[in-house]
Amino acid sequence: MTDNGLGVEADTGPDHGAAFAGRAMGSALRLTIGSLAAASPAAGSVAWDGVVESFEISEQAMSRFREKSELTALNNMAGTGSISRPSVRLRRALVAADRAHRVTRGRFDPRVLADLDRLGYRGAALAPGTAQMDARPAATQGDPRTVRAPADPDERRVVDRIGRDGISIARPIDLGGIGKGLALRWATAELERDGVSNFLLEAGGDLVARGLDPGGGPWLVGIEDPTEAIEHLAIIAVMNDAVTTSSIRVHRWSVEGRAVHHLLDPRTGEPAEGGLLSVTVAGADPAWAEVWSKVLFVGGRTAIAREARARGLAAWWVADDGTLEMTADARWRTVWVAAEDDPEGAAG
Amino acid sequence: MTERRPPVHLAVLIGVSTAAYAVSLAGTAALQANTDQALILARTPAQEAAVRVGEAHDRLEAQVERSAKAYALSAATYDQLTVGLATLDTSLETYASRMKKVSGAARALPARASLPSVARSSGSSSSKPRAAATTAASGAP
Repeated sequence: MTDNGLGVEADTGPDHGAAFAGRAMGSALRLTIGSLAAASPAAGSVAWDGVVESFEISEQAMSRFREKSELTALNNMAGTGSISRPSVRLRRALVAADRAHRVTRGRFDPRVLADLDRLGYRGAALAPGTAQMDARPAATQGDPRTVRAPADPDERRVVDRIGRDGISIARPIDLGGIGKGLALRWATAELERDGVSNFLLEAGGDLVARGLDPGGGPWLVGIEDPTEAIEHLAIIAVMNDAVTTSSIRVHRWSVEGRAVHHLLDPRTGEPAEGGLLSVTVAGADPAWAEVWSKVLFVGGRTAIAREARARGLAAWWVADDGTLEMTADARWRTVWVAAEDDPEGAAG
Repeated sequence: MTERRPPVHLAVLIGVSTAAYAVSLAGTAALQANTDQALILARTPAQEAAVRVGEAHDRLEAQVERSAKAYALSAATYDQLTVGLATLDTSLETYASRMKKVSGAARALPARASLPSVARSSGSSSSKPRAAATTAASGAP
């Protein structure tokens, strides 16, 4: 194992593969290359450097936790002005978020920054008096089931104006529900451009798999047990897909004696309380997998099966009683399930 | 002196004769025309029948030609089929020969085969495969 000077560690394995690890977007960033084949060993380091750089560019464009990011600058101008000459990534991210908002009929909405802030999940401080940070009072104080009044037609669009010359928004935005997926999408494209065809790229629990693992089989990915009773509830085989998880295992805290978490229902402005602990979705694109994992989580236990199956999603979900369920499309990707294993071997 | 007068009676005679001839000629022509018309009417059905017979003959000739072509094609197909059947016959002979050899080899096999015993691993009772990564909550280490 060697340090490549970027604060990351590289490990070249016996199967002519290589593994690299670092941090990005507040999470662990890992790259495992299945086989470098004819490429020189240095090719792995070059590919990793490209991934790190890609994530840095993405974070600078989309992070709400960085004071100097483009998104923070845009949020500071919410309702009052615009930022000029935005980066390509920020523009694409906002277009993607706007489309996700429309496709999910508002169940995905990046305009929850004010609610996250109100609940204590704060990012970079915005300028005092930033427009609309508290303009949509939660109609839900103490009752998350209460849906806010429908947004007016002007609020149907996430972005007021978007172009190469400038962007303006009416309300501050959090791209946390799609940003990591987009960063994975762009970093994956960089790797493929570099000629790396067999790899596993992980960013804080979300990942993209391409080709085969060092052993020549599909990449095996464990689905975390959000109750932490065991390590994995299931193992799934992934070849050319992305896998993302929306879970409340890490980001949950207490506000005035009430347990809250970071997965908000945009319709109420409150943490979703649908009887789910986590939702995992596998799909071709990490950004859309991330969007659907959150939308399914918000939909709750009673609606998730119908919604996931209707949309043909490969989805696994863990209910608040710890049980794992999945769609038919997810079942054939699943190679091992703890609950179906030898009862002496693992807990359910 | 005696004055010579033109012979008027000769002129009248010639005129009357000419008129009589003309009338008889017209009558004869009319009779001839009527006869020809009747003959034409009498022969028309026979001509039409002759045309129909000619057309039927043409059709029959075309059918005979098509039949001849179809026969030639069938003959060619049959020739090919014959070749295919000959090949199949050869293949079947080869197959039968091989089957005879396999049957002989099968008869030579022992009725029972004893396999070496396999030791069961007692390390872990779980069949859980090793995961290369974990999909988990955002912000997980």
